[in-house]
Amino acid sequence: MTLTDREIWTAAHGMVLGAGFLLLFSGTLAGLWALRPNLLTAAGARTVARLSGGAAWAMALLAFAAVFLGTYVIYPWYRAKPPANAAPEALSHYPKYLLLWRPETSGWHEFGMEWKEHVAWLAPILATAVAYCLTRLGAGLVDHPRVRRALLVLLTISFFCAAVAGALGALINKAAPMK
Amino acid sequence: MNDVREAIDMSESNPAEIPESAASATGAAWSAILAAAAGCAAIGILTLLTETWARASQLLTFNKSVGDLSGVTTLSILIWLFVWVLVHARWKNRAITASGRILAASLILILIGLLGTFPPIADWLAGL
Repeated sequence: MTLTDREIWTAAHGMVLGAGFLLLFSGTLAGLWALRPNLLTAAGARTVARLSGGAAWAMALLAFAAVFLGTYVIYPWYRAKPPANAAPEALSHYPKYLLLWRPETSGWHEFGMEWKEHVAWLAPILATAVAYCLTRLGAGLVDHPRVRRALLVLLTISFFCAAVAGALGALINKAAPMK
Repeated sequence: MNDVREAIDMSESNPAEIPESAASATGAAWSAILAAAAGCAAIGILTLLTETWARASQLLTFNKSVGDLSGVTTLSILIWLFVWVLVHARWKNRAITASGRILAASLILILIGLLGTFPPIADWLAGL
């Protein structure tokens, strides 16, 4: 029962950073949704804005860490070229080529990885905008329902992008495990 | 912002009552929203470029082991930050009244980003 270096980094990417992002989304969403004058006292609005802002910054940091780790550490392992004339059984260390070698799994690369590797980058950008606005306006967001609603939309799209990337990553890793 | 905090302090135990003066400078927030959307659109457009034009893919390969994804994401981050700095400088002290139009523009830009990264769109464009 051991994990290789690559398996550890892949698990950190998906199960620590990715899962952390998805968990923090719930807290940030609940806080943003609650920042309304009819729901909170002034002190409550201040507390919720501070907590939501903290959660949103944590989301943004985790998302950036996940996409940088994914792009610059894990992705090069995934797309590494096997030696010329490599036997099919030797492809297990070259996930991209393992997927492409079998017609029934090629779609996991051509659709799954192609979408995942790009759409994931939208998540940290949108999460940063949400975090910045929560910090900048704080409890004042109670008085800016349009900004608050716009942030709810951005946050939800950010979650969608991270969820797509996370789900595809888990399925691709099942079809061609990173070893 | 200090006005807001003072006003909130005065109504500590009452439902959040924030004076009208607080409904002022939302420009910084809208600039962050619009810039983030521009960054998303940049990812979508650059992805489509690299998927449909081999020369663009070569030019955006900043890191050989990562491929053109390195250039797409680096340039997009730079575009996002550049737009943010630029728009923030213009809007930071403004009370934005055209928030509906900014939100619509932002959603269109984000949609461009989402569609640009969706592989069937690039496949369709490459086949034209």
